[in-house]
Amino acid sequence: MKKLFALILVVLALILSGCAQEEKQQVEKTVVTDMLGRTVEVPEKVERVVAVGPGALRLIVYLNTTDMVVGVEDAETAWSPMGRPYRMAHPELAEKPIIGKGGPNPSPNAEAIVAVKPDVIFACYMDASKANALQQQTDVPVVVLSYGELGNFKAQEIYDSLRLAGKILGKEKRAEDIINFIESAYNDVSSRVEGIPEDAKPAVYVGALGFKGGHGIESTQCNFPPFMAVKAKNVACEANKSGSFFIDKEKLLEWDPDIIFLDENNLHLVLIDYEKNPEIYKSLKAFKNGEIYGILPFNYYTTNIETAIVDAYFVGKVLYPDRFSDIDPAEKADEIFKFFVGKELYGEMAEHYGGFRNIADVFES
Amino acid sequence: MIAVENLSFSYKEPVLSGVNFEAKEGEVIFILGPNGSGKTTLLRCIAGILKPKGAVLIENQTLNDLSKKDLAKKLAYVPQRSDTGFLTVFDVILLGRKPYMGFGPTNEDYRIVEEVISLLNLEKLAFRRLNELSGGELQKVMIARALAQKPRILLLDEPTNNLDVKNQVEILRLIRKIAKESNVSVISTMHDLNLASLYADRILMIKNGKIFASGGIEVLSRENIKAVYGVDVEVVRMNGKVVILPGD
Amino acid sequence: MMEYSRRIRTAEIVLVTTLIFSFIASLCVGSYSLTPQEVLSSLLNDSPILWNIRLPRIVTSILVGASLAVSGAVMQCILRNPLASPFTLGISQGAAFGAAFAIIFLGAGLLHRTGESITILNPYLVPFFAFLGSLISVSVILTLSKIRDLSPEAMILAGVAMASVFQAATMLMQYFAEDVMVASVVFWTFGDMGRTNWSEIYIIFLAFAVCIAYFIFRRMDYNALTLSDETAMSLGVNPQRVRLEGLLLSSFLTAICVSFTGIVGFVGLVAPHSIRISVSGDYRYLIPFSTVFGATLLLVADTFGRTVLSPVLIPVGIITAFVGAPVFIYLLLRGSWR
Repeated sequence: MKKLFALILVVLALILSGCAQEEKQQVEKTVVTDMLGRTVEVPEKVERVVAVGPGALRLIVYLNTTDMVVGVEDAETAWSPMGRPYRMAHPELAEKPIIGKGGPNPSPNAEAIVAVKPDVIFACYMDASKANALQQQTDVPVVVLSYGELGNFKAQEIYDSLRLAGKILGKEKRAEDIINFIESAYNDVSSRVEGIPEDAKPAVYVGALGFKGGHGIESTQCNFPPFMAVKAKNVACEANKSGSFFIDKEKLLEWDPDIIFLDENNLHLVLIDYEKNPEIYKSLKAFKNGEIYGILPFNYYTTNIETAIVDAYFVGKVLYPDRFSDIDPAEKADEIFKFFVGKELYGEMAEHYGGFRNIADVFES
Repeated sequence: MIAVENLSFSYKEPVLSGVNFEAKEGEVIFILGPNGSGKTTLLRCIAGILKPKGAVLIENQTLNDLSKKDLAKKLAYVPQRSDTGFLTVFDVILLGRKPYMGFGPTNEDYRIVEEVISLLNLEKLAFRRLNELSGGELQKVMIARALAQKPRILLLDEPTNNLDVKNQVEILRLIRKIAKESNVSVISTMHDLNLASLYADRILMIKNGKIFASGGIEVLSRENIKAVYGVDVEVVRMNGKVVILPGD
Repeated sequence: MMEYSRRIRTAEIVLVTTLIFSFIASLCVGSYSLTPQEVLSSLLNDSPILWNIRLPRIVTSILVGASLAVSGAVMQCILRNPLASPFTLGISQGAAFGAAFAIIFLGAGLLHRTGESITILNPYLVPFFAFLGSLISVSVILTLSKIRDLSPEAMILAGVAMASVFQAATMLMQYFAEDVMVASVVFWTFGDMGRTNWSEIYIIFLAFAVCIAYFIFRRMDYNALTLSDETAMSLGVNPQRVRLEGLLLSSFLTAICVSFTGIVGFVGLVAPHSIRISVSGDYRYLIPFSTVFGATLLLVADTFGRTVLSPVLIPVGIITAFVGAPVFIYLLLRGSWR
């Protein structure tokens, strides 16, 4: 057994001495600071990238650099692309080699990444120690991007991430274009509702929002970005809670909003619950008056920014029709999809989810 | 050899009080007494497992003067029961050499283990596991382990418990042989008065934590047994031996 | 005599050969395909695939497997409980809780965020808290074993209870923590050998070396303890001390492993029992053999996990649970340890 112990020691000593040496590369480098504050050395000329973690690949697609992607997470091939415009517009992404397991806790496969020889790894939802470990293992710079608070599409973190990725990929102009587009869309929506007195606004509620899985009408949010863009009077803000949360159905009866929006991805869950307890739903003002509308889901593998903007226009159109009289939500949606991912996707999504419409009729059994 | 002087011990209530006796080299002493009279506690006190009041002197040194290791070189203790398990007989007997070991067993240790194995005729069992042995075999192995300690004093707690007659006789003969041949003092507790009378040099009768009587087999009298155990017996003497029969 | 020593010798050769073979085999397989010749030449030069990815992973598996196996072997002896192991007693879960606590509440091991000052990372904070967490389990086990003469099964039930408490506490922290932190905490719930770097491996190795040296030094004491405390005392062993030191060191070793690789179940149970049943229960052999076998076991499991669905990696903890849980149930049914 002493022999064995000695053997282990020798092997270890070998290994430790081996990793002391380092290879020098003759590539022009530039230093960037990523969203975690890590300083990372990346090559001047980047031609091959991989994206790891929720939403990282989306930002690359927005920057019109889909052709640089040399590997994807299994989520891009295994999951349905429906609801993720960046993936719907680019079916070729499913043909790329897989570089690890995606999902909320991504586990990239370092060997598979090295095998596709990327110049940079973009990552989201990864902490510094994990990013450093991946960088150290693969010898490829890891740049961590961020979406800021989940679900918000007008976030400084997203702008900074776009600028950072744009700089690395040589797409500074496109990054600014995207940021300007988001800003002007937001301002457009907000300025249209300017001057409406608070008491003239209908009380609204959004239910069935996805949050780590699908949920029924109880799942809601106060700072729901499309509502915030149109400065809607959201009854759920009484809860004084940020992010996604669940409310008691009794509370909904008490709030009794004028208009209810439902995430069409989880509409079936609301319907199942409705079958069990139609009385509760029927006693709601919005249901009595048929003021139930469907919106497209935009939180799927983090925020699909374009869908969120599209939803904001539709919400505006429903709440203040006179202010949005020139807007056709379907047309506007295609314009936005085209800008972000290069393909008009509203038809496809409307066919799957139901699209922007009054859905009071589905509750009449 | 070993002297117990005014030894007292109590858990919450006193278990032993004022116990005095001595054991000479090569002497076999049986401690008799009813259940709960303090026999096992007395052995544990002598073995240094419990800390009693009074003194236990081994070759004129008190227990406190001796380190645990040094004590284990002079005195071996075989408790009434041990766990079995996956150790082999050889491994267990080698444990007897533990007090003599530095980092690990030496060739001398292995030699002594083999010597003990052949002394007790355990060759066939040597590499069997403890959980495969019968009660009698297990008891022999535990005694073998104690002998591997090369002790001057051997303490045994009910060595014949749960054994059949053949094994009882075999174990007691063995104990006697060891005492006489190696000049080891043996102090053993015992339930069977007849067996005790056959193999003892001296008998101690214990009642309520005190020595009630001590001496040769003559202490096994009708009166003493009545006083200690509270039963009426017939004591029949024949050919210098005694036979104790429960009376009616 | 001959037969026994032949069995020991055979076991030694078989175990060491299997480990070496598994080591070489796992070096040669992976998502990035390399021929054995390429592996050899990459070993001599330094290629990131082998030196930064594959080899650290392999060495971590070996060290962690060895550590968990030896911890299990020692715990089974000192607690007189054949079902004892870091995992079944809730010690691993305690360590994971401690590590998660350090990360979420003390911000250890991560997170310089935008707009905030850069925190100085203390690499020892997480292992230290993992050790503290494991000590909670240890103290409960020690107290229980002192107060009442618990049966081995009851002791394991207590361990299950402890594990649930720690899991609930970890989940509670996750519930209130930020997404990024949750991601780094979730990792402790199933072991992953792919996150260590050489300096962390060095720490695990040091802890392993110290502990195994101590365990080997105490091997005869462990043998004595398997008979009974009384017998052990009469042989000059101090059971209390041996027990306490053994439990502390094996928990420490477990905590170090857990803090770098997460919870890996059942290796500490399967490895020592396989050796005990097939080779010997003598701690002189049990300690080194379990160590080697545990290392092989985890290495093979991890290699399986990273090749079977390649390029998607299956966490090794999931694989050991699939192998280990049936063995655990078998031991429960067999029940012939008394």
